[in-house]
Amino acid sequence: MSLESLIERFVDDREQLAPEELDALVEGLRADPARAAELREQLVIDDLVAQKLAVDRRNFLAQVEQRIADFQRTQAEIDDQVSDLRALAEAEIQHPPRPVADARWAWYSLAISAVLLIGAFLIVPRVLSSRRAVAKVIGIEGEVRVGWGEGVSQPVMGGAVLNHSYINVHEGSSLAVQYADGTQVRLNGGTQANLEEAEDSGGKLVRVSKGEVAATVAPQPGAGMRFLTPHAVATVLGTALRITVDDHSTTLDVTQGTVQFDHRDGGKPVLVEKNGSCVASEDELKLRELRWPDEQREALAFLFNPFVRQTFVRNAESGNPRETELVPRDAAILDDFHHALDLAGGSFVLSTEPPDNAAALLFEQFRESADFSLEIVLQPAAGSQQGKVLTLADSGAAANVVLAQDGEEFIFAIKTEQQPTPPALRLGKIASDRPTHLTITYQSGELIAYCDGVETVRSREVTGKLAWHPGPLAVGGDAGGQSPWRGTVEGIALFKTRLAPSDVARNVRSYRVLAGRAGL
Amino acid sequence: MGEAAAQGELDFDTIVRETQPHIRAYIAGMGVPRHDVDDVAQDVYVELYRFFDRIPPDVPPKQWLKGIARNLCLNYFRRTSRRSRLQREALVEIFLRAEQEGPPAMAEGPVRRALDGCYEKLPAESRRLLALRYEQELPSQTIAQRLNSSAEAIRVALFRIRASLKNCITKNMAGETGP
Repeated sequence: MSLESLIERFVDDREQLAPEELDALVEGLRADPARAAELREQLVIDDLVAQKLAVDRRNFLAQVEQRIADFQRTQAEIDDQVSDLRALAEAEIQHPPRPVADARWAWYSLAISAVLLIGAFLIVPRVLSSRRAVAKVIGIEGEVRVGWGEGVSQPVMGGAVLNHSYINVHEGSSLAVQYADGTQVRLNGGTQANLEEAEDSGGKLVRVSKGEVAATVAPQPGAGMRFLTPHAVATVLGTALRITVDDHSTTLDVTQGTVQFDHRDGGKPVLVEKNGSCVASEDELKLRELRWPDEQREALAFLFNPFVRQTFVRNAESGNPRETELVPRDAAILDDFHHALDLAGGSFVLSTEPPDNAAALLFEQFRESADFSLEIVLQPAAGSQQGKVLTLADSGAAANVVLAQDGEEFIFAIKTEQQPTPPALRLGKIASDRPTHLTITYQSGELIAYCDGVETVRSREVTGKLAWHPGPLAVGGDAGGQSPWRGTVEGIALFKTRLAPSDVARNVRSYRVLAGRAGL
Repeated sequence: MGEAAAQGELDFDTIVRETQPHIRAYIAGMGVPRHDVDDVAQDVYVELYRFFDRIPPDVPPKQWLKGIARNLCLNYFRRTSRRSRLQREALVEIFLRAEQEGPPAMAEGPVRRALDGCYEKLPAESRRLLALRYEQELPSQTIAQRLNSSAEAIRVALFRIRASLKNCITKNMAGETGP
């Protein structure tokens, strides 16, 4: 391939060239400095034009401002941690170990003690320490099994969890335990873990084989509390965190404070700070940004994201997100502080203004789709009311999608080839005193609803591909602004795919962490 | 203290505002993929914020920022595989030499304003192609399908448009900064 062609392709996409082609490009540019200068100019102009025209590159100054604010917050957190560690160190200095006055007497004492206690050290205490309670049960949902030795039982509220207990939490269930110092650990559905007292340091130790564990850890003396997974060790002095373990990796999300994360194979540890995340794979630790949604992002068709204050609809043709807006009608307002949709008798509708016509772009996303998922974080203003929370193309004929509150219950309907007039699936009540993360996912023949990541309804009534007609996305009413619903909507994500239970759980947890609601 | 801090913040904001198009283009000019350019550039300005009071008074901020940008770009490429890393580092070296030996016109002055003027002078067809590529972010292959052309022809056309923009910008900026 000619140097000219390599240059054109490199400018087109910096990651397009194969290693051999990159070698040829480097060699060619070294031999021809004029072409190197020309390529550099192309890259510079390419970026300047992108700065001018690309939607996601127009807010650079605001992005820098946000990064500086993040940096300031992180610095404050680190300063707090350093102060804590310094206080611990000072306490050690003020109470140093007492020097031994006479070394010979010390040796005699030690030898006699050893003879007298050797049997006890070898036989009895191991059993006693194993039988010691390390924590007590403060919450159980669903099916949980706790094993110790050969015995397995269902834990009870207030019951003790013994040292070296093996815990198996079934899918959709959870177990919360509390240590004597107030440290709380929640083991979510699908988790297998052991609770132990570390033999070397006496500190708290949680071995997580798989699943998801969230913890709020009280300040720990000495070596701290440790979470061991097949891939990594998280060491905690006092913070809130979540650990998710699958066959290939361990993900650590930190809500408060700082956690030291070490790979099991050694290497330099990583300090993960508040709102930070780190993935330990088979061979490396990789820091990453905590975000919502975290799973199936490539299948996102529409997103109203309160954390980055972004609303976008994906262009079906290019696959790229296009920024858009939800336009308020009547008494609806965008709460600037929380970036939430405040619905007090009005509604929002997705922009249909040319040239974007976001509603049309959204329709294109689902034209040939067989799957659909919705995540919405909402809080009704009243436990009982009539109104439509979210609708798609709801203007007379059967809507593509309707999520509504009908008295105390919420209902959901989705139009398909087989059900042009779809049945309303009853989702049950949703609390009016706190936000609820509702997830609904559809794949022909199966519709599942989750509240806060826990499956609540499953239906096989609806079948077939989506058979939708064009129409606007409206929040807090129908297409014409009728059937208003009162309440608050914080986040909305529409996916053109089914979400697996693990996707649902992870997205809910990420949202909670980002919203500062990751407590147990 | 308050006044000094306020003055410092004002200077920081001014530096960011005035240098950001150049620094972002500078980072792109070292071969960083377009979708990561702004991330690296944000890191550059976080470093500026951290070490604002340590910039030697005789060093122009843009020059200091370019030094930081160069190091962060090398860090960026160090995260890739060994072979790719060596190739990318070689490219950075080639591009840095090209920048140092090339004319300074595009490195200084109101480059974005010059670009705006030159963009307006482009034929409608060229502007349409740029909109498809940069505004709608379509790959060359998709643009080619839309315009009944080939991906290679689209790449060549875009290359020529960028070359004409570069000539126009250089000319305009030489006129503005010249005697």
